[in-house]
Amino acid sequence: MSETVFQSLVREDGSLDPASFERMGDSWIESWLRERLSGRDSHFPVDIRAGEDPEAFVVGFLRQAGPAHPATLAVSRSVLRLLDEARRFEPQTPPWLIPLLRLCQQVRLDLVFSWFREELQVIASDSDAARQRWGDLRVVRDILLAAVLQAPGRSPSPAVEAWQVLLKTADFSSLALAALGSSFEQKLPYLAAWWNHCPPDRRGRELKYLVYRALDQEEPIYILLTQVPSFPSDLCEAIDQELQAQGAQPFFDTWVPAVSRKDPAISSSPGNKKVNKVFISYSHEDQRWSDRLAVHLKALEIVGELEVWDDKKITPGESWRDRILNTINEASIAVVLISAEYLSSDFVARIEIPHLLKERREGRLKIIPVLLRPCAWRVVPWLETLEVRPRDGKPLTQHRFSEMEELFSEITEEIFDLTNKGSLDEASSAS
Amino acid sequence: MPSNLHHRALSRLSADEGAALGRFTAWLEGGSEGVQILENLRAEAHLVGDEAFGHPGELSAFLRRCAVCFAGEAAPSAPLFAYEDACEEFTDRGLRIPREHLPDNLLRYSTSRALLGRLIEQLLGDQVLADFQQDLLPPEKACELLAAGWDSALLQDVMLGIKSKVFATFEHDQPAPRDDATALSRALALLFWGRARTKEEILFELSYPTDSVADPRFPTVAEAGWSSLFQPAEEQIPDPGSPRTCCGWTRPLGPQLAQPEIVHDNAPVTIVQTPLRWVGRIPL
Repeated sequence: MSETVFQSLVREDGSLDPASFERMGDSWIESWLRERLSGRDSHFPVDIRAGEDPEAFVVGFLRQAGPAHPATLAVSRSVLRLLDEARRFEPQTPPWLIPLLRLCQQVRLDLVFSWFREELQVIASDSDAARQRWGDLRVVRDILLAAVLQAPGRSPSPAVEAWQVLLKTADFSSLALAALGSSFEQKLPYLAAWWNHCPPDRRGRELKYLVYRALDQEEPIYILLTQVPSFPSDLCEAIDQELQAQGAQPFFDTWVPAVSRKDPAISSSPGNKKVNKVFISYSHEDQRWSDRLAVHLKALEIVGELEVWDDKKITPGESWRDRILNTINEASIAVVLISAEYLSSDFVARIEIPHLLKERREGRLKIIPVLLRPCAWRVVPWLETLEVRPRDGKPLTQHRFSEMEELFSEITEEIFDLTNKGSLDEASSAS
Repeated sequence: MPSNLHHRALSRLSADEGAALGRFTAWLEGGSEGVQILENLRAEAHLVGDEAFGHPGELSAFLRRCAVCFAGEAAPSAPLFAYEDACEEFTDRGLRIPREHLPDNLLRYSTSRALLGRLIEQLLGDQVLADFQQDLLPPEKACELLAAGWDSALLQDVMLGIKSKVFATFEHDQPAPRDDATALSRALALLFWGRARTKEEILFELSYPTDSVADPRFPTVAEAGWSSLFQPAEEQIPDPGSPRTCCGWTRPLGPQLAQPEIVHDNAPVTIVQTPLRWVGRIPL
């Protein structure tokens, strides 16, 4: 009986012992794998009743053993031999090929990189010919799906060019997008090309997942979108629709004039800008700093030079989101108090900063970032194009109190100069 | 306990066939799973083909077929495969179940990531599939997305199972732990229990109208193949007044209640009108 012969492979807890398995030798492993993946296994029979996938047992074993275990390497060698053998079957599909490809879609095996890279290049150079060669689009798709894991396209992978070609092939564009990046940020540079080539009846659901995944993984999607020079208008619209459908704020929608806004509560247009309004953006952890800055600016308020606004002016029952966005729309200057708490605020990242940057890009707002406390502000992309105060890059809290006061005075004077000139164009070109 | 059907089927075998069956039996007795398979063979009472309850013709033919590869002196090179081949030939030969003996809805529980993958590919798209295959998207999340976007009309060429017949169960008066994957898999006696395992399993539920499937039958040892946890139905004439006699019942592992079990023709997943339901993970 099978179980007596192979009892040594199984530990007391029912798991498979990789060391004993590896000792069975390459020839046995290859033969076992061929039978197993064909749905027949005299050693560890495949469960018909529950519809067990023949590759599942092998996937679990490889994940348990880990990539460096000799048993994994032995299985990898067998997988590679079977993949080579499959080429000799073309255009027939041996019974083990699809489960073998499903295995390769789930576990990374270093030894098979070259095989998948070669296939990738062949498919990229002539996908119709590849389809004929393998006899079935299903097989080609399964090869590519495995290649997403085995030969991904993230730079500096040598497979990147082939994936970029496939990005423009209707049948494979979404697989290529998956191969070129696993996060929204990585996929972003390819999004427009993908959108233009993915069949319209499929791209909606793909975009839905892209947005879902980015929000679920808490990627700074709004900030990332500000870094894209241009998108096709229908893509912008589709992204906004998806953001709203998934309970988030639209991004591109806030760029357009008030007349075309979907949310009538938010007013915005260059025409209703109050030149002398200063918006203070801060984390509540930094309340005392905001208050101190407000004291300095109060002198200008008293002489009627400007109006200072922070979120303490929101009245109970008022929509704070709408009020903040409206105030940004009306303000000509925003002082942004930078700290770790500020940079990690979800609302700031998703709503405030994208809106501030948009207003700035449109020439309607000057942003003055003030570095309050030590944080990783240098790696924050949107701060790269702004001039941070203090100009030495040293956070306020690392200065003496008198120096802090001096800095707030300087900022107040800077704001006075700007508002006195009354020129937004000038203001926005300054920072 | 051997069934009368088995007893009568044996009596139809020739002396040579009986001897070959003896060698086959001896081979089965060489391992614990084989011993259970043998016990199931002996308890089989519904492998009657298109005949009425109690007809031994089909079971005797099946036993003859099982013994064929043990007819010579030399032991067969792959007896388990030979047995599975015999089972394959005799699937779809259990006693037919009249439609009126079944409820309006059937349930199928699956552990298949491949099936889940096909559903994801067709309903949610390639990027979800890529993330799912690489474990970047947990299966419960994938099922949540599938359920939210369920539209079985979009599914093409996706079948409930891979064989010509698939197993199914249904709700009845004895409750099943339908939200506890481990308990449910033990109530259904799914085969990974008691076997070498390499990973945790997933379990999800597909629900569909009984009228959408063809040829419901009692599951037999032939459909079960090398599945020792399968339990043949008791040898009782089906009587709608006694629901326990109208279908097969699982042999639960542990304190769970036995669940009804039938087989029917494999069918496209387009029959699954209500969204797939995630049951849970079954830890290693």
